[in-house]
Amino acid sequence: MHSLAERARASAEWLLRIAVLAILVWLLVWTIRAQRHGAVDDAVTATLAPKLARWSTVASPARVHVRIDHPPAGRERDWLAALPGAGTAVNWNGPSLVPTAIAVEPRIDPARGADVSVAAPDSAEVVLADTLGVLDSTRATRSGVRGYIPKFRGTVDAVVGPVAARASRRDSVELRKLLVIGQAGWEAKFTVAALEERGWQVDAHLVVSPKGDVRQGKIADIDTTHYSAVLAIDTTAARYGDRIAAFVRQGGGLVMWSPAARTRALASLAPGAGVGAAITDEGDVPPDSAPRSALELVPVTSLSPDAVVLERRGQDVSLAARRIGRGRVLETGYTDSWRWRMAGGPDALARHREWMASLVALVASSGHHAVPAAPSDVAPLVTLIDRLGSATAISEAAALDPAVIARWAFAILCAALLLEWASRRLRGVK
Amino acid sequence: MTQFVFATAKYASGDWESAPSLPEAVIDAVVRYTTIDIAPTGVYVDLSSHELFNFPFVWLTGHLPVRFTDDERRNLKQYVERGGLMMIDDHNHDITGQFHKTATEEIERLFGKMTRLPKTHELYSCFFVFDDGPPNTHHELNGYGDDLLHKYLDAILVNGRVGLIYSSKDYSSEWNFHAETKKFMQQDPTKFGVNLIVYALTR
Amino acid sequence: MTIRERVQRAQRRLVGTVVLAALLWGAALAMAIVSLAAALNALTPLNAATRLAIIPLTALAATAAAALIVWRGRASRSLARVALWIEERQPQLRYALVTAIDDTIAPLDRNRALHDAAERVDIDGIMRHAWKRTLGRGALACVVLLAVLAVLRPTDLLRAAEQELALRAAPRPAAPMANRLLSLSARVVPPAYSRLPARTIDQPGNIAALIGSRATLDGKGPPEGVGATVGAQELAASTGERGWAVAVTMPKDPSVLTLHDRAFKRLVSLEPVTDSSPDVRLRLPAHDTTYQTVPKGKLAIDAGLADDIGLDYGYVEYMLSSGSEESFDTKQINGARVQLGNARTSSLRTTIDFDTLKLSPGSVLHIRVIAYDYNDVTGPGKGVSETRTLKIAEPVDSTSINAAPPLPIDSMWISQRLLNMRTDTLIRTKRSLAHEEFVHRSSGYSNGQEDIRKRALAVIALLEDNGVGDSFETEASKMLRQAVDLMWTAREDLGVAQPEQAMPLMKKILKILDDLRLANRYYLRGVLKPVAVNIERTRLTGKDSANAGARQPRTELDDPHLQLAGRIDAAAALARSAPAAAADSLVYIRVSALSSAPAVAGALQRAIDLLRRGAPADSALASTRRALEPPPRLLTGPAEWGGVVP
Repeated sequence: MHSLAERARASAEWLLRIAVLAILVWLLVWTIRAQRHGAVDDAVTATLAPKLARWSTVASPARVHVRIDHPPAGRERDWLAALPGAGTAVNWNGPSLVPTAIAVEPRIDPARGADVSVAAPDSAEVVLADTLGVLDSTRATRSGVRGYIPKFRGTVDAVVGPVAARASRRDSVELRKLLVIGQAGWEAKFTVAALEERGWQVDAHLVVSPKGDVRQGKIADIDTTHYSAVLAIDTTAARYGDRIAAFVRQGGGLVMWSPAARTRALASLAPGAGVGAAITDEGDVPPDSAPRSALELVPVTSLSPDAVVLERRGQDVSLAARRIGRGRVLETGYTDSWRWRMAGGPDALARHREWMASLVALVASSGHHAVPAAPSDVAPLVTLIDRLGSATAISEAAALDPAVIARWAFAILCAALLLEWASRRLRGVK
Repeated sequence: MTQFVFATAKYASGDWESAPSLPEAVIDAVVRYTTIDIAPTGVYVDLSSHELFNFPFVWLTGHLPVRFTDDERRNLKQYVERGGLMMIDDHNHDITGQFHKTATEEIERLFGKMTRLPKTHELYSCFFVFDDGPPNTHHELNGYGDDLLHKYLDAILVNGRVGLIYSSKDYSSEWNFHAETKKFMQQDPTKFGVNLIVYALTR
Repeated sequence: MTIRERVQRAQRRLVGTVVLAALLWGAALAMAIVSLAAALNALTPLNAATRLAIIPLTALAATAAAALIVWRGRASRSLARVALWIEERQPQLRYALVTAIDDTIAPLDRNRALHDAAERVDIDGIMRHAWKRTLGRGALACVVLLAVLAVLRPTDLLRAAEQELALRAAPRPAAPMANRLLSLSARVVPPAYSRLPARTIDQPGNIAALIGSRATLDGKGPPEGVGATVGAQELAASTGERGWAVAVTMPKDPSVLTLHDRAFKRLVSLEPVTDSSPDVRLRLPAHDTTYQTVPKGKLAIDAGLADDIGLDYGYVEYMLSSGSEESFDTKQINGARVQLGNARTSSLRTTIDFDTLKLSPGSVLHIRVIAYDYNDVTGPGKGVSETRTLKIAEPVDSTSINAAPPLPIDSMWISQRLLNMRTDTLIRTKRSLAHEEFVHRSSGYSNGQEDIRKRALAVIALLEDNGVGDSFETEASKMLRQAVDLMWTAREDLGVAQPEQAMPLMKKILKILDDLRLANRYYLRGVLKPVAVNIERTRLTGKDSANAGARQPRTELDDPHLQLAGRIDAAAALARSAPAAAADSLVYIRVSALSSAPAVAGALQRAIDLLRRGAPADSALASTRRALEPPPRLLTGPAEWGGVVP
């Protein structure tokens, strides 16, 4: 008659056998499932490089989950994108990744430079940098960030959180000449001076007298093969009205001062059909902080429906623009911008020159030719999605390391078997 | 748009107002020959005041020594470098006189040595054509002052543009008359003034 | 031939045999060594050191072998030993020979038998045998070894060994001289007038000193072959304290001094320090003055003087002009020189006695103080004070230029402003006033406005009178007319007790008068009396023809900062592959920057020092490039239009 203890031990031994069988069955089921669903491994950006090597050589899982905290380098990203082709499905997510994109355009300006546009979430901190280091930083608005980089070094980065988007210049502009038309006067004189000092080649027709006008250059056909833009200082430009209109429709640029918009010939091109009463300047020194605040202003009024306001001074529109055909027209109400140059602060000379050139750059047309471009990644998150597909959530269960599971299961198996055998032998049972 | 206003510089040390009718005579010439929008009267502007920069063309004359103050010097330097044109005319027509000596000393102190404008300079052909350079004045033809015929004007150039003209020809005497008087003249002596203003407004 | 003579003959032959044997065995050993070397060389080529040892070893061995044989045969020098040697080969002699050869021991006449016994020895035969035996072995060895050498043909090996030996034996050329520019020192002696002490700079990278200073750079080594250039100027080295020396005078503009020593080069930048001109501040008189009457008495003149090095002397300069209209006379008077004793700061005080100047109405006195320093290199530096202008007013001119009485427009403005204030008060206190009082006051203000209107009309008449009987509208009169019209309406409103309606008009009136006051500042001769041109009547009435010439275009302005930045870019690109060349390039750039961008020059020096130490200079160069470039600008305005530069 077996004692209670012996029976208990026998029961325990059976339990251990059952447990071993259960573990074996579980391992079998798990293996079958893994084969059906695939072995799963995971990585984060920091461990991605060695893991990629392992997945491609030693252990090729059926599925990998990658947590991306900053976009991987192009080589790793491309490697990851190639894994599905080798039978390893890739899931990823990157909750900290910020959608960021950057574009760069050469400025139509003899001083070169580039205009940079960055798309980023509203209020995100955006850092612009180039090969020398940080250029500037600011907070994005709803329309992103736009900057002008006078000395462009081939590439520019926009860093938003962990994401760095890089753009490189891919083309260069071919400038034509400018044509300035106006009455001989201070505004015409200093406009031509500023643009020439900037590096523009200027043809000019400055009306002085029926006995003779002052001209510069041979005023050729007003078309986009000869001119990048026309500047109409006042009503004297009306004598070229039809030719200017054709030029703009062809793709040329037109900068017109508000008084020029009064002429019938140019009114149809102007962003503002009306011209307000002149707000005369008080003779104050234009301050460097807001130089145009002290200038005479003839406001742009009666804006056409397609006109875009570029700048206001208080309630008055000081700069407005519109597209006409393939060209662009900008109207400025600052009829005495020359006072900024003459009377402004220490930086006035350079800044007036730069501002005048920027007005021209907004509308001017130019030829383009491609230049060798450095590698870029203008929208890293988009590229990631494009290569790897959309991000997915990662389940915790799939994060189990099969090697660890196998080890534990084996260990438990061995322990159970050993215990069962030991118990039997100690009882004297074979 | 600002119309052109003929400005005469007032400076601390001399008789800056010594040619009060000159503006009228030159304005008259500009109106006669051009369509330039010009104010009918001239103004006097203080060389030491920031209002100087509202008038990118300024006439300066006198008989007495020219000794600029620090403010006047600073303004004049900025004025010329930014694009203004100042015409300094020796009302004595005397290169041995103190106006010439002191004015040229001040100019050299600020800008260095002046450059002689050649007779082919565009100043002499930008509107009326003066083949022989600056036109002579009655004063110098009559031996007034230093009894010399000055064939050239001197200038300070900024990036190839004339920013300051120095004249020993005494246009201040030549042009210091009421415009009405021109009807008694065979030749209008103020035509060169038109060139000065056309140059100032277009170069 | 006696026995003695026979033994002597044998001795001679023996000596000869020893010598020949030595030669043969010496040669054999030499040939053996050469054969061995040749055999080894055939198996594995011998290195230069081994080849070098062949000939000396051979010679040594041969000499040693020969010497050994000669040493072993040294006994042949002794006749008795030779006799004993013969006796060893003829034992039956029993020392008869060695005894017979000594006449003192065994003379012939008393020892006939001994001599006869000795005579019977075949000494020649013994000698022949020995000769054959000794020389035969040697000869045989030589023949065998010659055969071996003939097979091995060691001529090339021997030639190579000979060449190696010749090379080593040749006198070695002297080691090239070390770089004489490495240990550099500069002694800088400022110009004598400055009285500044001389100083020494060790390992100078740059020398900053007054223009005209004498800098002597010296180093170790002879001066031949050492030279320097500064721009186009060549400087030869002379003998100096430590070896060589080059002297240079500090030029006016920053330059680079290039020292040469054969292919070695070293750059030192020369940074001239300009001796500033004296600074002179005129304290008294404190400002320009117009005297209404001719002043009497003394005028104090007080000026503060300062110089960075030392003041030499100063004086007061007066210019007294008198005259009027077109005729003026100006006298220049210089006051007495005041010696300033090389002080860095000083004062000059004196007085002018008006009485001695013979001033009269219309006179103008210009006063300024002038000071000089001791600079006898580029100067002397001359400092001048501001000029004070003292004018004596002319009595016919009732309004002096600098002290004009209140102008009609000013007084009108004052009156209008007061009227506006009172009307404003009236409006605000309307409720607290009785109706009759309100109407009364408003009526009074209407009269006041009418008063101002009449004054304005009078001024208009004055403005429009051009002095020759004609009347032309001027800008000022046009504005005043506008004000007059408004005054009429305001007067009416005030007259019917409607100040609220009048108030806006009165504000406009005040604005017009204010603008007129501004314009009026330009007219300092009292009453506004501009002469206006009748534009409408005169426009384009000129008959002369014009020919407006073409405008010449202006050139683009070069930005010296951007040019510097471009040069630094090029140097930075070079820094990775050739840091020494980049450092040299930066020295030149730094010299250019001293005048156009002095703030950058310091940062460039840091970069130069880093590159010379072999450390990376990327950060230092990046910051200088940034400092020279225009900064980026954030743009405003709608996105699709790119944005406007602020």
